[in-house]
Amino acid sequence: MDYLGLLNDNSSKIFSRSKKIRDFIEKIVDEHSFVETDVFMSGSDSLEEAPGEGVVTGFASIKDFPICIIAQNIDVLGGSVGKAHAQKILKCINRCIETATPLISIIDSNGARLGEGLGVLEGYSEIIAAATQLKNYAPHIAVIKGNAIGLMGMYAVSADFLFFGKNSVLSANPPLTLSNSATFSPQGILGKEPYLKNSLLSGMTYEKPEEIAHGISKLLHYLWDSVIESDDDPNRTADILNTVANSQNLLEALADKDRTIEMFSEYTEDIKTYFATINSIPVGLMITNSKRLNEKSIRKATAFVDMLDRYGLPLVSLVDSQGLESNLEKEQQGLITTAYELMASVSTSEIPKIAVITEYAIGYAYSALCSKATGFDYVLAFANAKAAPISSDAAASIIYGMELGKKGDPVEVRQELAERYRKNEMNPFVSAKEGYIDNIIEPALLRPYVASGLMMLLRRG
Amino acid sequence: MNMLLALKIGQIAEIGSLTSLIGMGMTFLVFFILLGFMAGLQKTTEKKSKKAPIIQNQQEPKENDEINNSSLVAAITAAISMILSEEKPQKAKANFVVKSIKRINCGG
Repeated sequence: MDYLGLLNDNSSKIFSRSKKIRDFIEKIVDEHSFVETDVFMSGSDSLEEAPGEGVVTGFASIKDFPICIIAQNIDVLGGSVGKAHAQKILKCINRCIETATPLISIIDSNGARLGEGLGVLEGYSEIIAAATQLKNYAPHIAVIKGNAIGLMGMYAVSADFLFFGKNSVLSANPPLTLSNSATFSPQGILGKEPYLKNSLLSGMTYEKPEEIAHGISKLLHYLWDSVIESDDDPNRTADILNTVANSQNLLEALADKDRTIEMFSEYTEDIKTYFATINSIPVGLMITNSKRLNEKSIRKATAFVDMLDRYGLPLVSLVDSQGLESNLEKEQQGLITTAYELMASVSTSEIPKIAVITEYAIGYAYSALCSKATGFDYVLAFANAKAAPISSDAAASIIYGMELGKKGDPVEVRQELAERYRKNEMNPFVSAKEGYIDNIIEPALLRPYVASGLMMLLRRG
Repeated sequence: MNMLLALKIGQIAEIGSLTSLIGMGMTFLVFFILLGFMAGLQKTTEKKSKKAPIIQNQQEPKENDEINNSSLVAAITAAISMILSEEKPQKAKANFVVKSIKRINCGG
Protein backbone atom coordinates (compact mmCIF):
# COMPACT_ATOMS: atom_id res chain seq x y z
CA MET A 1 0.00 0.00 0.00
CA ASP A 2 1.28 3.42 -0.89
CA TYR A 3 1.06 5.06 2.54
CA LEU A 4 2.80 8.21 1.46
CA GLY A 5 0.45 8.56 -1.48
CA LEU A 6 -2.54 8.05 0.82
CA LEU A 7 -1.23 10.66 3.24
CA ASN A 8 -0.75 13.15 0.41
CA ASP A 9 -4.19 12.45 -1.05
CA ASN A 10 -6.00 12.79 2.27
CA SER A 11 -4.01 15.85 3.29
CA SER A 12 -4.66 17.65 0.04
CA LYS A 13 -8.43 16.93 0.33
CA ILE A 14 -8.44 18.71 3.69
CA PHE A 15 -5.92 21.43 2.88
CA SER A 16 -7.81 22.43 -0.26
CA ARG A 17 -10.77 23.42 1.99
CA SER A 18 -8.68 25.25 4.60
CA LYS A 19 -6.33 27.25 2.41
CA LYS A 20 -7.76 30.69 3.31
CA ILE A 21 -7.63 30.19 7.06
CA ARG A 22 -4.14 28.66 6.88
CA ASP A 23 -2.98 31.68 4.87
CA PHE A 24 -4.44 33.90 7.61
CA ILE A 25 -2.56 31.93 10.27
CA GLU A 26 0.69 32.16 8.30
CA LYS A 27 0.38 35.97 8.32
CA ILE A 28 0.15 36.02 12.12
CA VAL A 29 2.81 33.49 13.10
CA ASP A 30 6.55 33.49 12.39
CA GLU A 31 7.34 32.39 8.85
CA HIS A 32 7.07 28.60 8.34
CA SER A 33 6.64 28.02 12.09
CA PHE A 34 3.07 26.67 11.99
CA VAL A 35 2.70 22.93 12.54
CA GLU A 36 -0.89 21.71 12.11
CA THR A 37 -2.12 18.97 14.43
CA ASP A 38 -5.14 16.64 14.41
CA VAL A 39 -5.60 17.15 10.70
CA PHE A 40 -7.57 13.91 10.41
CA MET A 41 -9.60 14.19 13.61
CA SER A 42 -13.21 13.82 12.46
CA GLY A 43 -16.71 13.02 13.58
CA SER A 44 -17.63 11.32 10.32
CA ASP A 45 -16.27 8.51 8.19
CA SER A 46 -15.91 10.67 5.14
CA LEU A 47 -13.16 13.23 4.77
CA GLU A 48 -15.27 15.21 2.31
CA GLU A 49 -18.21 15.70 4.70
CA ALA A 50 -16.45 18.05 7.13
CA PRO A 51 -12.76 18.28 6.19
CA GLY A 52 -10.74 19.07 9.31
CA GLU A 53 -14.06 19.41 11.21
CA GLY A 54 -14.13 23.10 10.28
CA VAL A 55 -11.32 24.03 12.63
CA VAL A 56 -7.55 24.17 12.20
CA THR A 57 -5.38 23.57 15.26
CA GLY A 58 -1.64 23.41 15.85
CA PHE A 59 1.35 25.19 17.30
CA ALA A 60 3.75 27.85 16.08
CA SER A 61 5.68 30.86 17.31
CA ILE A 62 4.93 34.59 17.21
CA LYS A 63 8.05 36.76 17.41
CA ASP A 64 9.75 33.71 18.96
CA PHE A 65 7.04 33.18 21.62
CA PRO A 66 5.82 29.55 21.38
CA ILE A 67 2.02 29.50 21.09
CA CYS A 68 -0.81 27.06 20.33
CA ILE A 69 -3.44 28.11 17.85
CA ILE A 70 -7.10 27.34 17.14
CA ALA A 71 -8.70 28.76 13.99
CA GLN A 72 -12.30 28.15 12.97
CA ASN A 73 -12.69 27.60 9.23
CA ILE A 74 -15.75 29.41 7.84
CA ASP A 75 -15.30 27.52 4.54
CA VAL A 76 -16.26 24.18 6.11
CA LEU A 77 -19.88 24.05 7.29
CA GLY A 78 -19.69 27.77 8.13
CA GLY A 79 -17.22 27.07 10.94
CA SER A 80 -20.12 25.59 12.89
CA VAL A 81 -19.45 23.81 16.15
CA GLY A 82 -20.16 20.08 16.37
CA LYS A 83 -18.98 17.48 18.88
CA ALA A 84 -15.78 16.62 16.96
CA HIS A 85 -15.11 20.32 16.29
CA ALA A 86 -15.34 21.02 20.03
CA GLN A 87 -13.16 18.01 20.89
CA LYS A 88 -10.45 19.25 18.55
CA ILE A 89 -10.51 22.68 20.26
CA LEU A 90 -10.56 21.06 23.70
CA LYS A 91 -7.49 18.97 22.88
CA CYS A 92 -5.58 22.11 21.94
CA ILE A 93 -6.63 24.00 25.08
CA ASN A 94 -5.56 21.05 27.23
CA ARG A 95 -2.16 21.06 25.53
CA CYS A 96 -1.81 24.74 26.53
CA ILE A 97 -2.75 23.92 30.12
CA GLU A 98 -0.27 21.00 30.29
CA THR A 99 2.61 22.96 28.77
CA ALA A 100 1.68 26.46 30.02
CA THR A 101 1.69 27.71 26.45
CA PRO A 102 -0.25 30.84 25.41
CA LEU A 103 -3.32 30.15 23.26
CA ILE A 104 -4.47 32.13 20.25
CA SER A 105 -8.10 31.47 19.24
CA ILE A 106 -9.27 32.73 15.84
CA ILE A 107 -13.05 32.76 15.96
CA ASP A 108 -15.38 32.77 12.98
CA SER A 109 -18.42 30.55 13.36
CA ASN A 110 -21.97 30.71 12.11
CA GLY A 111 -23.28 28.72 15.06
CA ALA A 112 -23.90 25.16 16.22
CA ARG A 113 -24.64 21.94 14.30
CA LEU A 114 -28.06 21.59 15.85
CA GLY A 115 -28.55 18.18 14.32
CA GLU A 116 -26.02 16.79 16.78
CA GLY A 117 -28.34 17.57 19.70
CA LEU A 118 -27.21 18.12 23.25
CA GLY A 119 -23.75 16.79 22.39
CA VAL A 120 -23.05 20.21 20.84
CA LEU A 121 -23.94 22.02 24.04
CA GLU A 122 -21.70 19.61 25.97
CA GLY A 123 -18.93 20.47 23.55
CA TYR A 124 -19.39 24.22 24.08
CA SER A 125 -19.49 23.76 27.84
CA GLU A 126 -16.29 21.71 27.80
CA ILE A 127 -14.31 24.29 25.82
CA ILE A 128 -15.58 27.22 27.91
CA ALA A 129 -14.70 25.40 31.13
CA ALA A 130 -11.25 24.52 29.79
CA ALA A 131 -10.65 28.10 28.62
CA THR A 132 -11.55 29.34 32.09
CA GLN A 133 -9.12 26.86 33.61
CA LEU A 134 -6.43 27.99 31.17
CA LYS A 135 -6.51 31.43 32.81
CA ASN A 136 -4.52 29.95 35.68
CA TYR A 137 -1.78 28.64 33.41
CA ALA A 138 -1.22 30.80 30.34
CA PRO A 139 -2.52 33.85 28.49
CA HIS A 140 -5.38 33.44 26.05
CA ILE A 141 -5.81 35.90 23.20
CA ALA A 142 -8.84 35.72 20.92
CA VAL A 143 -9.13 37.11 17.41
CA ILE A 144 -12.74 37.66 16.34
CA LYS A 145 -12.36 37.35 12.59
CA GLY A 146 -16.07 37.14 11.81
CA ASN A 147 -18.91 35.95 14.01
CA ALA A 148 -18.59 35.08 17.71
CA ILE A 149 -22.19 34.46 18.65
CA GLY A 150 -23.82 32.77 21.62
CA LEU A 151 -21.65 30.23 23.43
CA MET A 152 -18.80 30.76 21.00
CA GLY A 153 -18.95 34.46 21.91
CA MET A 154 -18.72 33.50 25.57
CA TYR A 155 -15.65 31.39 24.76
CA ALA A 156 -14.17 34.50 23.07
CA VAL A 157 -14.73 36.79 26.06
CA SER A 158 -13.00 34.29 28.34
CA ALA A 159 -9.78 35.47 26.67
CA ASP A 160 -7.50 38.07 28.24
CA PHE A 161 -7.45 40.25 25.17
CA LEU A 162 -9.53 40.48 21.99
CA PHE A 163 -8.65 41.57 18.49
CA PHE A 164 -11.70 42.59 16.47
CA GLY A 165 -11.92 42.32 12.69
CA LYS A 166 -13.55 45.26 10.89
CA ASN A 167 -16.95 43.55 10.44
CA SER A 168 -16.81 41.18 13.39
CA VAL A 169 -19.88 40.50 15.50
CA LEU A 170 -19.85 39.61 19.19
CA SER A 171 -23.22 38.76 20.66
CA ALA A 172 -24.71 36.62 23.42
CA ASN A 173 -27.89 36.03 21.36
CA PRO A 174 -28.29 35.36 17.65
CA PRO A 175 -28.46 38.89 16.16
CA LEU A 176 -31.70 38.14 14.27
CA THR A 177 -33.51 37.59 17.57
CA LEU A 178 -32.58 41.13 18.63
CA SER A 179 -34.48 42.92 15.89
CA ASN A 180 -37.69 42.52 13.91
CA SER A 181 -36.25 44.40 10.98
CA ALA A 182 -35.55 42.27 7.93
CA THR A 183 -32.69 44.57 6.97
CA PHE A 184 -31.05 44.44 10.40
CA SER A 185 -27.28 44.30 10.09
CA PRO A 186 -25.37 43.39 13.27
CA GLN A 187 -22.00 44.57 11.96
CA GLY A 188 -20.96 47.73 13.77
CA ILE A 189 -23.89 47.53 16.21
CA LEU A 190 -22.82 44.36 17.99
CA GLY A 191 -19.09 44.05 18.47
CA LYS A 192 -16.15 46.04 19.65
CA GLU A 193 -17.73 49.44 20.39
CA PRO A 194 -20.61 48.50 22.70
CA TYR A 195 -18.79 45.68 24.42
CA LEU A 196 -15.56 47.53 25.20
CA LYS A 197 -17.53 50.51 26.50
CA ASN A 198 -19.94 48.57 28.68
CA SER A 199 -18.08 45.46 29.76
CA LEU A 200 -14.65 44.69 31.08
CA LEU A 201 -13.08 43.46 27.87
CA SER A 202 -9.76 44.60 26.61
CA GLY A 203 -9.39 44.74 22.89
CA MET A 204 -8.50 46.54 19.72
CA THR A 205 -9.47 46.53 16.06
CA TYR A 206 -7.12 45.20 13.41
CA GLU A 207 -6.99 45.98 9.71
CA LYS A 208 -4.34 43.45 8.67
CA PRO A 209 -3.32 40.10 10.23
CA GLU A 210 0.23 41.46 10.67
CA GLU A 211 -1.12 43.95 13.25
CA ILE A 212 -2.37 41.00 15.30
CA ALA A 213 1.13 39.50 15.37
CA HIS A 214 2.60 42.77 16.61
CA GLY A 215 -0.11 43.20 19.26
CA ILE A 216 0.17 39.63 20.50
CA SER A 217 3.95 39.76 20.86
CA LYS A 218 3.67 43.07 22.76
CA LEU A 219 1.10 41.60 25.14
CA LEU A 220 3.04 38.38 25.66
CA HIS A 221 6.11 40.40 26.63
CA TYR A 222 4.18 41.93 29.54
CA LEU A 223 2.30 38.78 30.54
CA TRP A 224 5.06 36.25 30.00
CA ASP A 225 8.51 37.87 30.36
CA SER A 226 10.13 38.61 33.72
CA VAL A 227 12.23 41.40 32.21
CA ILE A 228 11.64 43.61 29.15
CA GLU A 229 14.90 45.46 28.77
CA SER A 230 14.65 49.25 28.68
CA ASP A 231 17.35 51.92 28.44
CA ASP A 232 15.31 54.37 30.50
CA ASP A 233 17.24 55.41 33.62
CA PRO A 234 15.52 54.16 36.79
CA ASN A 235 16.95 57.21 38.61
CA ARG A 236 15.18 59.61 36.23
CA THR A 237 13.40 62.34 38.20
CA ALA A 238 10.35 64.38 37.22
CA ASP A 239 10.38 67.89 38.70
CA ILE A 240 6.99 68.60 37.16
CA LEU A 241 5.40 66.33 39.77
CA ASN A 242 6.39 68.86 42.42
CA THR A 243 3.85 71.22 40.85
CA VAL A 244 1.39 69.17 38.73
CA ALA A 245 0.82 65.50 39.59
CA ASN A 246 -2.00 64.56 37.19
CA SER A 247 -2.45 61.02 35.85
CA GLN A 248 -0.59 61.72 32.59
CA ASN A 249 2.42 63.28 34.35
CA LEU A 250 2.49 60.43 36.85
CA LEU A 251 2.45 57.82 34.07
CA GLU A 252 5.24 59.54 32.14
CA ALA A 253 7.30 60.04 35.27
CA LEU A 254 7.00 56.47 36.48
CA ALA A 255 6.87 54.08 33.52
CA ASP A 256 9.80 53.31 31.21
CA LYS A 257 9.52 55.34 28.01
CA ASP A 258 7.34 53.76 25.28
CA ARG A 259 6.53 50.79 27.48
CA THR A 260 2.83 50.96 28.26
CA ILE A 261 -0.37 49.31 27.05
CA GLU A 262 -3.61 50.70 28.41
CA MET A 263 -6.11 48.05 29.48
CA PHE A 264 -9.92 48.45 29.68
CA SER A 265 -9.42 51.97 28.30
CA GLU A 266 -12.93 52.39 26.93
CA TYR A 267 -14.79 51.13 30.01
CA THR A 268 -14.16 54.22 32.16
CA GLU A 269 -11.58 57.01 32.38
CA ASP A 270 -12.09 57.45 36.13
CA ILE A 271 -9.29 55.04 36.86
CA LYS A 272 -6.47 54.25 34.43
CA THR A 273 -4.95 50.79 34.15
CA TYR A 274 -1.80 49.94 32.22
CA PHE A 275 0.64 47.19 31.59
CA ALA A 276 3.98 48.96 31.88
CA THR A 277 7.59 48.41 32.80
CA ILE A 278 9.51 50.20 35.53
CA ASN A 279 13.26 49.64 35.40
CA SER A 280 12.55 46.87 32.83
CA ILE A 281 10.23 45.02 35.24
CA PRO A 282 6.69 44.39 33.87
CA VAL A 283 4.06 45.72 36.26
CA GLY A 284 0.40 46.62 36.38
CA LEU A 285 0.00 50.35 36.93
CA MET A 286 -3.26 51.71 38.31
CA ILE A 287 -3.83 55.49 38.57
CA THR A 288 -6.98 57.08 39.95
CA ASN A 289 -8.24 59.76 37.59
CA SER A 290 -11.28 61.05 39.44
CA LYS A 291 -11.73 62.45 42.94
CA ARG A 292 -14.36 59.81 43.78
CA LEU A 293 -14.38 56.05 43.19
CA ASN A 294 -17.60 54.96 41.49
CA GLU A 295 -19.06 51.58 40.58
CA LYS A 296 -17.37 51.41 37.18
CA SER A 297 -13.95 52.48 38.38
CA ILE A 298 -14.09 49.94 41.22
CA ARG A 299 -15.15 47.13 38.84
CA LYS A 300 -12.32 48.06 36.50
CA ALA A 301 -9.79 48.08 39.34
CA THR A 302 -11.02 44.68 40.54
CA ALA A 303 -10.76 43.11 37.08
CA PHE A 304 -7.28 44.55 36.66
CA VAL A 305 -6.03 43.30 40.03
CA ASP A 306 -7.44 39.83 39.25
CA MET A 307 -5.66 39.84 35.90
CA LEU A 308 -2.34 40.87 37.47
CA ASP A 309 -2.73 38.18 40.09
CA ARG A 310 -3.24 35.51 37.42
CA TYR A 311 0.02 36.46 35.72
CA GLY A 312 2.05 37.34 38.82
CA LEU A 313 2.55 40.94 37.76
CA PRO A 314 3.30 43.40 40.60
CA LEU A 315 0.70 46.11 41.23
CA VAL A 316 1.67 49.76 41.53
CA SER A 317 -1.28 51.83 42.74
CA LEU A 318 -1.14 55.64 42.52
CA VAL A 319 -3.93 57.12 44.60
CA ASP A 320 -5.57 60.52 44.64
CA SER A 321 -9.16 59.92 45.72
CA GLN A 322 -11.51 61.31 48.31
CA GLY A 323 -13.32 58.00 48.65
CA LEU A 324 -16.54 56.43 47.41
CA GLU A 325 -19.12 58.33 45.41
CA SER A 326 -22.20 59.26 47.35
CA ASN A 327 -25.23 58.32 45.25
CA LEU A 328 -28.49 56.84 46.48
CA GLU A 329 -29.32 55.09 43.21
CA LYS A 330 -25.92 53.40 43.09
CA GLU A 331 -26.24 52.44 46.74
CA GLN A 332 -29.53 50.72 45.96
CA GLN A 333 -27.92 48.94 43.02
CA GLY A 334 -25.37 47.29 45.28
CA LEU A 335 -22.37 49.61 45.37
CA ILE A 336 -21.32 48.13 48.69
CA THR A 337 -20.76 44.61 47.27
CA THR A 338 -18.80 46.02 44.33
CA ALA A 339 -16.66 48.00 46.78
CA TYR A 340 -16.06 44.93 48.91
CA GLU A 341 -15.01 42.86 45.89
CA LEU A 342 -12.09 45.19 45.18
CA MET A 343 -10.87 44.96 48.76
CA ALA A 344 -11.24 41.17 48.61
CA SER A 345 -9.28 40.95 45.35
CA VAL A 346 -6.47 43.14 46.66
CA SER A 347 -6.19 41.32 49.97
CA THR A 348 -6.28 37.80 48.49
CA SER A 349 -3.89 38.49 45.60
CA GLU A 350 -0.38 37.18 46.13
CA ILE A 351 1.45 39.66 43.95
CA PRO A 352 3.85 42.34 45.24
CA LYS A 353 1.90 45.55 45.78
CA ILE A 354 3.19 49.12 46.03
CA ALA A 355 0.99 52.14 46.75
CA VAL A 356 1.78 55.82 46.41
CA ILE A 357 -0.54 58.47 47.84
CA THR A 358 -0.11 61.30 45.36
CA GLU A 359 -2.57 63.64 47.04
CA TYR A 360 -5.74 62.41 48.76
CA ALA A 361 -6.39 58.97 50.20
CA ILE A 362 -9.60 59.36 52.15
CA GLY A 363 -11.78 56.65 53.67
CA TYR A 364 -12.46 53.71 51.31
CA ALA A 365 -9.82 54.93 48.82
CA TYR A 366 -7.16 54.55 51.51
CA SER A 367 -8.37 51.12 52.63
CA ALA A 368 -8.83 49.61 49.16
CA LEU A 369 -5.97 51.18 47.24
CA CYS A 370 -3.10 51.77 49.66
CA SER A 371 -3.58 50.24 53.09
CA LYS A 372 -0.84 47.94 54.36
CA ALA A 373 -3.52 46.01 56.23
CA THR A 374 -5.33 45.29 52.94
CA GLY A 375 -2.14 43.88 51.49
CA PHE A 376 0.10 46.64 50.18
CA ASP A 377 3.72 45.76 50.88
CA TYR A 378 5.28 49.17 50.47
CA VAL A 379 3.42 52.46 50.88
CA LEU A 380 4.80 55.84 49.89
CA ALA A 381 3.23 59.28 50.19
CA PHE A 382 4.07 62.53 48.47
CA ALA A 383 5.05 65.23 50.96
CA ASN A 384 1.81 67.09 50.20
CA ALA A 385 -0.38 63.97 50.61
CA LYS A 386 -3.48 63.93 52.76
CA ALA A 387 -4.60 60.61 54.23
CA ALA A 388 -7.48 60.41 56.69
CA PRO A 389 -10.70 58.54 57.51
CA ILE A 390 -12.87 61.48 56.38
CA SER A 391 -12.51 64.68 54.37
CA SER A 392 -11.65 67.92 56.14
CA ASP A 393 -15.11 69.38 55.42
CA ALA A 394 -16.80 66.36 56.95
CA ALA A 395 -14.42 66.54 59.91
CA ALA A 396 -15.41 70.17 60.50
CA SER A 397 -19.02 69.02 60.97
CA ILE A 398 -18.46 65.71 62.74
CA ILE A 399 -15.31 66.00 64.83
CA TYR A 400 -15.45 69.70 65.63
CA GLY A 401 -19.24 69.92 65.61
CA MET A 402 -19.35 71.47 69.07
CA GLU A 403 -17.10 74.32 68.02
CA LEU A 404 -19.21 75.17 64.98
CA GLY A 405 -21.88 76.79 67.12
CA LYS A 406 -19.43 79.19 68.73
CA LYS A 407 -19.35 82.89 67.94
CA GLY A 408 -18.14 84.24 64.65
CA ASP A 409 -19.06 83.86 61.01
CA PRO A 410 -20.18 80.18 60.59
CA VAL A 411 -18.56 79.94 57.15
CA GLU A 412 -15.24 81.26 58.45
CA VAL A 413 -15.38 79.04 61.53
CA ARG A 414 -16.04 75.98 59.35
CA GLN A 415 -13.11 76.88 57.10
CA GLU A 416 -10.85 77.32 60.12
CA LEU A 417 -11.87 73.95 61.54
CA ALA A 418 -11.38 72.20 58.19
CA GLU A 419 -7.94 73.77 57.92
CA ARG A 420 -7.10 72.67 61.44
CA TYR A 421 -8.04 69.05 60.52
CA ARG A 422 -5.97 69.22 57.34
CA LYS A 423 -2.94 70.46 59.27
CA ASN A 424 -3.18 68.26 62.33
CA GLU A 425 -4.69 65.00 61.11
CA MET A 426 -4.36 64.65 57.34
CA ASN A 427 -0.67 65.31 56.77
CA PRO A 428 1.41 62.23 55.93
CA PHE A 429 3.72 62.68 58.90
CA VAL A 430 0.88 61.60 61.18
CA SER A 431 0.46 58.35 59.19
CA ALA A 432 4.23 57.84 58.96
CA LYS A 433 4.53 58.21 62.71
CA GLU A 434 2.19 55.24 63.11
CA GLY A 435 4.08 53.21 60.46
CA TYR A 436 1.18 53.16 57.99
CA ILE A 437 3.36 54.91 55.43
CA ASP A 438 6.89 53.63 54.82
CA ASN A 439 8.33 56.76 53.22
CA ILE A 440 7.31 60.35 52.63
CA ILE A 441 8.93 61.43 49.38
CA GLU A 442 9.48 64.43 47.17
CA PRO A 443 7.05 63.87 44.23
CA ALA A 444 9.87 64.36 41.70
CA LEU A 445 11.55 61.21 43.06
CA LEU A 446 8.57 58.92 42.39
CA ARG A 447 10.38 56.73 39.82
CA PRO A 448 13.57 56.00 41.79
CA TYR A 449 11.56 55.21 44.92
CA VAL A 450 9.11 52.86 43.16
CA ALA A 451 11.89 51.23 41.10
CA SER A 452 13.93 50.52 44.22
CA GLY A 453 10.83 49.22 46.01
CA LEU A 454 10.10 46.84 43.15
CA MET A 455 13.61 45.43 43.32
CA MET A 456 13.16 44.88 47.04
CA LEU A 457 9.87 43.00 46.45
CA LEU A 458 10.90 41.01 43.36
CA ARG A 459 11.60 37.78 45.16
CA ARG A 460 7.97 37.70 46.27
CA GLY A 461 6.81 37.62 42.62
CA MET B 1 49.70 128.21 -29.72
CA ASN B 2 49.87 130.51 -32.64
CA MET B 3 49.92 133.41 -30.21
CA LEU B 4 52.85 131.92 -28.26
CA LEU B 5 54.74 131.35 -31.45
CA ALA B 6 54.26 134.97 -32.20
CA LEU B 7 55.94 136.09 -28.94
CA LYS B 8 59.63 136.54 -28.43
CA ILE B 9 61.58 134.28 -26.15
CA GLY B 10 62.08 137.12 -23.62
CA GLN B 11 58.37 137.72 -23.42
CA ILE B 12 57.69 133.98 -22.93
CA ALA B 13 60.23 133.82 -20.06
CA GLU B 14 58.59 136.86 -18.44
CA ILE B 15 55.12 135.31 -18.54
CA GLY B 16 56.52 131.98 -17.20
CA SER B 17 58.30 133.66 -14.30
CA LEU B 18 55.19 135.64 -13.42
CA THR B 19 52.96 132.54 -13.48
CA SER B 20 55.46 130.69 -11.26
CA LEU B 21 55.52 133.52 -8.75
CA ILE B 22 51.73 133.73 -8.59
CA GLY B 23 51.54 129.90 -8.12
CA MET B 24 54.14 129.94 -5.35
CA GLY B 25 52.39 132.85 -3.68
CA MET B 26 49.09 130.99 -3.73
CA THR B 27 50.71 127.87 -2.32
CA PHE B 28 52.29 129.73 0.58
CA LEU B 29 49.06 131.61 1.21
CA VAL B 30 47.13 128.36 1.57
CA PHE B 31 49.96 126.98 3.71
CA PHE B 32 49.76 129.91 6.12
CA ILE B 33 45.98 129.71 6.31
CA LEU B 34 46.27 126.06 7.24
CA LEU B 35 48.94 126.83 9.86
CA GLY B 36 46.70 129.49 11.36
CA PHE B 37 43.76 127.06 11.50
CA MET B 38 45.90 124.36 13.14
CA ALA B 39 47.20 126.86 15.74
CA GLY B 40 43.63 127.93 16.54
CA LEU B 41 42.53 124.34 16.95
CA GLN B 42 45.45 123.60 19.27
CA LYS B 43 44.57 126.60 21.43
CA THR B 44 40.99 125.46 21.79
CA THR B 45 42.14 121.96 22.84
CA GLU B 46 44.55 123.43 25.36
CA LYS B 47 41.75 125.54 26.81
CA LYS B 48 39.57 122.47 27.16
CA SER B 49 42.37 120.42 28.67
CA LYS B 50 43.01 123.18 31.17
CA LYS B 51 39.37 123.04 32.28
CA ALA B 52 39.30 119.21 32.39
CA PRO B 53 41.02 118.73 35.78
CA ILE B 54 38.31 120.80 37.42
CA ILE B 55 35.60 118.66 35.88
CA GLN B 56 37.59 115.54 36.64
CA ASN B 57 37.80 116.54 40.26
CA GLN B 58 34.07 117.06 40.42
CA GLN B 59 33.21 113.73 38.85
CA GLU B 60 35.84 111.54 40.46
CA PRO B 61 33.92 108.78 42.41
CA LYS B 62 34.41 108.82 46.13
CA GLU B 63 35.15 105.66 48.10
CA ASN B 64 31.56 105.56 49.40
CA ASP B 65 30.22 105.70 45.89
CA GLU B 66 32.38 102.71 44.96
CA ILE B 67 30.94 100.77 47.84
CA ASN B 68 27.42 101.76 46.81
CA ASN B 69 28.05 100.60 43.25
CA SER B 70 29.45 97.28 44.45
CA SER B 71 26.37 96.78 46.61
CA LEU B 72 24.16 97.63 43.67
CA VAL B 73 25.93 95.11 41.43
CA ALA B 74 25.74 92.50 44.14
CA ALA B 75 22.05 93.18 44.62
CA ILE B 76 21.33 92.96 40.90
CA THR B 77 23.37 89.75 40.61
CA ALA B 78 21.49 88.28 43.53
CA ALA B 79 18.15 89.27 42.01
CA ILE B 80 19.08 87.71 38.66
CA SER B 81 20.29 84.55 40.39
CA MET B 82 17.05 84.38 42.31
CA ILE B 83 14.97 84.78 39.15
CA LEU B 84 17.08 82.17 37.38
CA SER B 85 16.81 79.83 40.31
CA GLU B 86 13.04 80.28 40.26
CA GLU B 87 12.91 79.49 36.55
CA LYS B 88 15.19 76.47 36.78
CA PRO B 89 14.76 74.92 40.19
CA GLN B 90 17.50 72.69 41.42
CA LYS B 91 16.91 69.19 40.08
CA ALA B 92 15.58 66.71 42.61
CA LYS B 93 18.03 63.98 43.48
CA ALA B 94 17.53 60.87 45.55
CA ASN B 95 20.12 59.98 48.14
CA PHE B 96 20.38 56.47 46.67
CA VAL B 97 21.01 55.01 43.21
CA VAL B 98 18.82 52.36 41.55
CA LYS B 99 20.69 49.87 39.37
CA SER B 100 19.28 49.08 35.94
CA ILE B 101 17.86 45.57 35.77
CA LYS B 102 18.98 43.25 33.01
CA ARG B 103 17.75 39.96 34.43
CA ILE B 104 15.98 38.69 37.52
CA ASN B 105 17.66 36.16 39.77
CA CYS B 106 14.89 34.55 41.76
CA GLY B 107 17.30 32.25 43.55
CA GLY B 108 16.58 28.68 44.16
